[in-house]
Amino acid sequence: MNLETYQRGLQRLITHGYSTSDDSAYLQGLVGTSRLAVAKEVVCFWRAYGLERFCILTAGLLKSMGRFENDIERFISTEKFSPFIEEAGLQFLRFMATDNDLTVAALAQTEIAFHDTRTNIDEEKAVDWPCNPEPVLLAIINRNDISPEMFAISHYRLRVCRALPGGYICELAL
Amino acid sequence: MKAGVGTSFEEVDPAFTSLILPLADVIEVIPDTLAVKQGKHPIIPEAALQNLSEIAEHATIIVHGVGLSIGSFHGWNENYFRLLDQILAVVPVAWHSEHLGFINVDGQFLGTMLALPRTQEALDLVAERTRLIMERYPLPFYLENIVNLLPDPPAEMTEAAFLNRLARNGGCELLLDIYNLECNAHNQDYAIPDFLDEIDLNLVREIHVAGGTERAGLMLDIHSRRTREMTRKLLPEVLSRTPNVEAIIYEVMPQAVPALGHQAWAEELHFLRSVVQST
Repeated sequence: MNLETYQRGLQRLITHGYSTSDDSAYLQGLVGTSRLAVAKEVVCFWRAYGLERFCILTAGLLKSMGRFENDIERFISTEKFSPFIEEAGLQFLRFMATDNDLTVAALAQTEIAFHDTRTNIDEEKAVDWPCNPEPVLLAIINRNDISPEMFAISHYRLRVCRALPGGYICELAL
Repeated sequence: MKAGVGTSFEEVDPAFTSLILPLADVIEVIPDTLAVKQGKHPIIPEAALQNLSEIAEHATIIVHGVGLSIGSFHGWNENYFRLLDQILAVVPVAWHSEHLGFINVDGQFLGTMLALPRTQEALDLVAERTRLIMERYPLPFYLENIVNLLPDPPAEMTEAAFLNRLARNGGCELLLDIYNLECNAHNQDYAIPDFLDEIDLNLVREIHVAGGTERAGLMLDIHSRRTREMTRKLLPEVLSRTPNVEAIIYEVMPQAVPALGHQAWAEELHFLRSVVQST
């Protein structure tokens, strides 16, 4: 096992958890071990810490839904994450912006819009929501429980712009 | 020569300036944690550089990288040098150091630092890169022993022998992290006295101590706690056998400071000072 095959094999194990039949006995022996699980947990821990601070809203909703750690693990397996949180945060938000849960996707798109409009006071972004965003956002910001009623289906458009009071406005979509 | 006492610095914090900085002879700056990504490359913002200038008025600055990935087969991470250049442009740096491991594979960030196999191939690669670093910067350069959570890969030499040969072949010296040594002794089931008897302690120029946590029976290199009793017993012993140590650094990550408290952080520096004075 030379350095290249060792490092590529470890990357595959850390990122995806599997080895190939071409891998050395050492690498194949790591599959499913508690040591590999702890190493992966360490990766998730550091990613989660940074993302919690950068993607406050999306991370808040995912945590309240009990799926944050699982989503971090899925995100890591995409191999598209930067060591720099400004970049990794947006990568994570883009990843969550296509989530099957439309509320999660809308919130991630909204958070991207907040970041995109942060430095340009005139820029405006619009995100369509499958429920009223206001109670969801308030619950996350105030760290209150998020109840299922908050996800009652209705169509809203959330406009994000620094020039708006509070930075955004929610409108019932027609 | 008495070793200096110091600590790590990652974030601006008024309590750090008032409570911690006055206790430190040396401040260890981690460029990667000060940097932000702007455009293609990371940079250290002007405000952070200004903070370093202010800190440099009170303490010696040393740079401790985490992002160089000196052991990656495909090449190292040039961003480390960009950040080091930025720091060197504003403050004097006594020496710089990195971890003996890799965090990138094919340019992709792994999210954690992994250990190298102790083979001749890895030794030759890192020694060559170490020589290049020392040609590039007229500064001492030290390499640090890191924690390996995974089982030891097939090795051609012991950890101590690998470090000794690396220093000899690469021309660098060593940063001995006592907490990492404890973690590896626990995780890899080897005896610390054997390691200390084999490693050339004359090569050790800097010592790290820290406190961390355990997970699934493994000791983790997460600098979140105060030093434990074993570290405190080991430090004087190691220090008495390392005549060329210039600094002992207590490492703590900023995320842990709210729970740890600045008072506890300060007490760690007082402890280091007491060890230096009594050794």
